[in-house]
Amino acid sequence: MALLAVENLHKQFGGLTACDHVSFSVERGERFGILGPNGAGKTTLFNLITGFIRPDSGSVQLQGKPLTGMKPEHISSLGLVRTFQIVKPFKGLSVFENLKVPTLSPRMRKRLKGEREREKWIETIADLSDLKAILQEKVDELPHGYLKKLEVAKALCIQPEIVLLDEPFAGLTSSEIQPISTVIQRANEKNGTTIVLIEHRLKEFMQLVHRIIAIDYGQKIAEGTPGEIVRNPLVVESYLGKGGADLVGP
Amino acid sequence: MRALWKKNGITVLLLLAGVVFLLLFPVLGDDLYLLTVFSIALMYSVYAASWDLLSGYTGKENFGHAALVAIGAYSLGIISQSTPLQPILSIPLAGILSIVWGILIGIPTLRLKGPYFALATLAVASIMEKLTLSFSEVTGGEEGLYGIPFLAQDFVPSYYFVLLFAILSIGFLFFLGRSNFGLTLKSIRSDEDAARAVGISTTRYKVTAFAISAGFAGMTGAISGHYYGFVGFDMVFPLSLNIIILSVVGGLGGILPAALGAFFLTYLTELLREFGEFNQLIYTGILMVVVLVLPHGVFNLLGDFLRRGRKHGVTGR
Repeated sequence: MALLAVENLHKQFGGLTACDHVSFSVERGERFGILGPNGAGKTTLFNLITGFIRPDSGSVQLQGKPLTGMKPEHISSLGLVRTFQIVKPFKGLSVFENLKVPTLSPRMRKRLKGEREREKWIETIADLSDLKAILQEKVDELPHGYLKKLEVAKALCIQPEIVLLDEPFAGLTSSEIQPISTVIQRANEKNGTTIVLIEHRLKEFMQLVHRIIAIDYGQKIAEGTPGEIVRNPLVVESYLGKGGADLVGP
Repeated sequence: MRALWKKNGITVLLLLAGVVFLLLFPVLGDDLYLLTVFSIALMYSVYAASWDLLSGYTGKENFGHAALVAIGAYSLGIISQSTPLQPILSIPLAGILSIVWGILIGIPTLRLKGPYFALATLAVASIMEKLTLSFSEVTGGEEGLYGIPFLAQDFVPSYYFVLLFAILSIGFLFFLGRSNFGLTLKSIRSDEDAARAVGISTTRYKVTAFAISAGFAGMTGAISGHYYGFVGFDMVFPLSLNIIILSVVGGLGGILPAALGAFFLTYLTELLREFGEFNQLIYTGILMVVVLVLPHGVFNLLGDFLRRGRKHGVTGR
C-alpha cells in the first residue's frame, strides 16, 4: 500500500480550476517531487492534502486512512506535515522554543514523556538540522537561510511519516541551498522520513528527488524519473511555451 | 525556577521587596487612604494579568473584559439580594460561572480572525451593559446593588485578603504563562496556521486561555463587590477600556509587566488627583508618551534592562 495516495483531487476557485482531478501516490521512504511553473497549482495541492483547503471532490489517504475533511492539526498529528513557502517561524521565541511547539502536539505528547525526553528529542532534531549551535537564539535575528532550515526542522520535530516541503530553497543563494538540501537528505536516509518536495531550483531539485510529477494549469501532465521528466515535451512546453520542446531538441 | 533566578535575579529581588513592603505596609503605618488605594490597585493588577493571558499571549485582543467581571460581580450582587453570600462561597461560584461564560462565548468568537474577535467581545460587553440597564429591577440599573457582605469587618484584614488573592492569582498566571501552555499560546500569536501545521489544536488552546482569563476576571469582580459592599454599573463596565490601557502601558505577554503596569498606573491616577482638573490631561499625556516611546511597555523594558545589566556585570563584558 502506498504511504500517501491522492485520488482525483479537484478544486475550483470560481472559474479557475486550481487542481484538476490530480492523482498520484508516494511510497514509503521516497523523495518525491512536484514540478510546475508558477501558478500551476502546486501550493494549492499541498493545501488540499494537508487540510488547509477543502477539496470539491477526490480523496487523500495516508496509510489507507482517509484524510479528506479533517482539520490541519489532526492531519499533522497523524504524521503528515507541511512547511510553508514563505517561512513561518514563531517570532519572539528562541529556536529551541520554536522546536518545542511541535513536541506539544497530541502526537508527540504520546511519544515523549516529560520534559527530559522532550529536550533530548529537540536536540536530536537540532543536530540533524544543523541548528544546535543557535538553539538559544531568538528567531527574529536569524538570517533567511537559517529560517528555511528551521521551517524544515519544525516539521521534523513532529516525527512525521511524510513531510511536504513547499519550496525549501526559494530565496536562497546557491551556497545556502547545499546545507538545507543535506538536512532533507539526512532526514530521509537516517530517519526514513518520506519527502514530497515542490521546488523551482531545478538543478538541486533534480538531484534530490527519485520520482516526479509535473503539473500545469492544475492538471498532472507527466510522471516519471527526473531523467524522463526533463525529456518530456509537455513539461518543456509548460515552461517554455508551445514549440519549446523543438528549441531544446531531442 | 533556577533558570528564572539565574537570568532575572535583580528583578526577582525587586519583586520580593515589593511584596514584603505591601505585606508590612499596614504594620508600619495606619494610612487608611493609601491602604484603600493599594487594595484597588491590586484588584486592577489581577484584571490586567487575567486579560494578558488571553490577549497578550495569543494576540486576540479582548475589548470586553468587563463582561467577564460583570458575570462575577453581578452574580454575587443579585444572589445577595435574597441570601447574603460570604466570600468563601461567592468567589468560587463567580469563578465557575465566568469560566462557563468564557467557554460559551469563546467557542464561537475565537474562530474569528483579525479585528473581528475584538469587535465580537466589544459587542458582547455592550449588550450586557444595555441589558443591565434594561433589567434594572434585577440588576439595580444605574443605582447598583447594595447589601453585599464585606470582605472583612475592618480595612486591614480586607487589604490582606485582596493582597493574598492578588499574589496567588498573578503568581499562578505568571507560571502558567511560562509553562508549555504559555509557549503554545505565544506560537498562536505569532502564526496560527504554522501552529496548526505542527499539530496544535489552536481553537482548544484559545478557548482554554479565555476560560482561565474569564475565571480570574470573574473572581476579582466578586471580590471587588465584597470590598465595596456594592456592585454598580459604573464600577464594572468602564473596565473594558481601562484594563487594556493598564496592560499595554505595563507591557504584554509576560503577566507581571501588565500587573505592575496596572498597579502603578492606578496609584498614579490617585496621585494625580492633587492636580485637580489637570489630572486627566497629565494622565493622557503620560499614556501617549508611553505608547509612542515604549511600545513594548514600561515593565517589559525595565525587565530587559535589569537582565542585560546583570549579564554585563557577571561576565564583565
